[in-house]
Amino acid sequence: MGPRTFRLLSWAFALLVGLAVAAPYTMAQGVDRSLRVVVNKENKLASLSTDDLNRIFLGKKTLWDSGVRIVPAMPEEESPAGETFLSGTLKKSVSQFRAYWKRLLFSGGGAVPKVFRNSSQLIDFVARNPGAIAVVETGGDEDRVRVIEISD
Amino acid sequence: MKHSLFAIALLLAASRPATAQEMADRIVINGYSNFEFSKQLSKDGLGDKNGSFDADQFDLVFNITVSERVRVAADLSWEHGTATEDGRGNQALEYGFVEYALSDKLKLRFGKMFTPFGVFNEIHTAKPAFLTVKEAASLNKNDRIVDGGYLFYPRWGAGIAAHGDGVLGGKDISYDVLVANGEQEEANPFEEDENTSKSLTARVRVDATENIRVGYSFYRDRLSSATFTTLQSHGFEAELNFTSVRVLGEVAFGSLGHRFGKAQRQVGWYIQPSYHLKNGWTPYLRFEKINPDRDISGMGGRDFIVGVNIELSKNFQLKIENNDFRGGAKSSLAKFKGKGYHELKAALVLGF
Repeated sequence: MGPRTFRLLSWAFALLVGLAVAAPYTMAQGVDRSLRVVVNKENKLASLSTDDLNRIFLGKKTLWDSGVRIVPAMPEEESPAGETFLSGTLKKSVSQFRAYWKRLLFSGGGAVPKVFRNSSQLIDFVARNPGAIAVVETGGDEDRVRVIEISD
Repeated sequence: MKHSLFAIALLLAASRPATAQEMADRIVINGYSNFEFSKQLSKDGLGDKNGSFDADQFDLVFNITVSERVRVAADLSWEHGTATEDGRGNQALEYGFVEYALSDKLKLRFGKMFTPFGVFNEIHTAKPAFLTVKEAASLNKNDRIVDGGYLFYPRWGAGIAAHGDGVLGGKDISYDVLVANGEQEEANPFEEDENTSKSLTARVRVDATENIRVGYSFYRDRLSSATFTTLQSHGFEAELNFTSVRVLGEVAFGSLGHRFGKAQRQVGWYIQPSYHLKNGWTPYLRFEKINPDRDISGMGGRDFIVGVNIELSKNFQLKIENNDFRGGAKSSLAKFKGKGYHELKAALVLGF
């Protein structure tokens, strides 16, 4: 690498770092009205911020404040509910979401959110797992779980 | 007594499915396989002249939740159609560690791990985790491009690591620190250290926005070799990830200290733009260069890759690319001066 290329690369990286520091970090806000976020009835959590919901489904937040391990679950990525959640809340396409998780999973960073075909299976899963959290379609049998509010 | 036995039997029968379910919830098995073909297209070159199939990789990846705070992660690998009776292929524990989570900001890991340096090292065996057929050789396997270089870091380390995710200044950050035995001349580095000094790897990543991530990695070790004293490397990474357009780039600077004479200063870098089409096709380019000794001109070489990644079905990909290798006057590629050589690489990759 010549000094010119080196200088160019250094400037390019400095520019990106500058962007990193200066750019406002705006994550997705809220969850689409067609969806609900549910947790196990043992979970005393009343609400969750959108940023924390994002972090849970991206494997960055893995423990509830109580110390119980968080187990996220969601509808199949390519189902209408799955796509709504990914694009509306996580701001990721299906391929971006999969690419993100393949990197994390195969490098030992954690397990991919569990995926279920329908809300009934998701609710069953949440009802039997104290640490579970799931995104489900509105209108399912939500009596066996707790619906939590997602705040901005 | 009969009633009690009957009740216990009933209880056991009733509890069996619950236990199986609980096990299924706690033990997650994933994996990947990679089947490759490569063929040198030019008349002369250092590539695969005959064209070969390679049953490259079959891996099982385990995630076991032992308790709320303890997790085990492991990757068992069978490479190149392992047949131990014939001494063929390779069977390896790519990583196997126990993670104890004090909090999300501090998770301690113990065991054998990939060195957390840059983008590719931790996924270099996991071909479904990246677009191209092979990882960026300039940073992870530079002998694929030129001779005379060294690895910026050993790929694996046995030791203690800390990993954390948090928020700083409103931005998501993550860090990794690994203290390991480091590379060894004689001893098994995953069992024994030949010297008193430990290697140190550190990496920090910042999600600047939803679409931009930048990171910095550092590696340092004192070597037990009779020839070399220290290995120190710095790496910078950046990733722009928009819905269709994605650009990944890295640069690494290394310094290998010699007992007699000047340190060998090495630099490698690549840039990889790609465009994701809605039909699952992702054309990509990667331009990468490695200069194994910045004090000697003409030693470096490059690989310019043009390829496409086609998602045939969920997590099943076909990758096809042309690698155009060229080198300087003092590089191993100098004999193909001015023309380099071309090699076709293709792979069928499944993640499950």
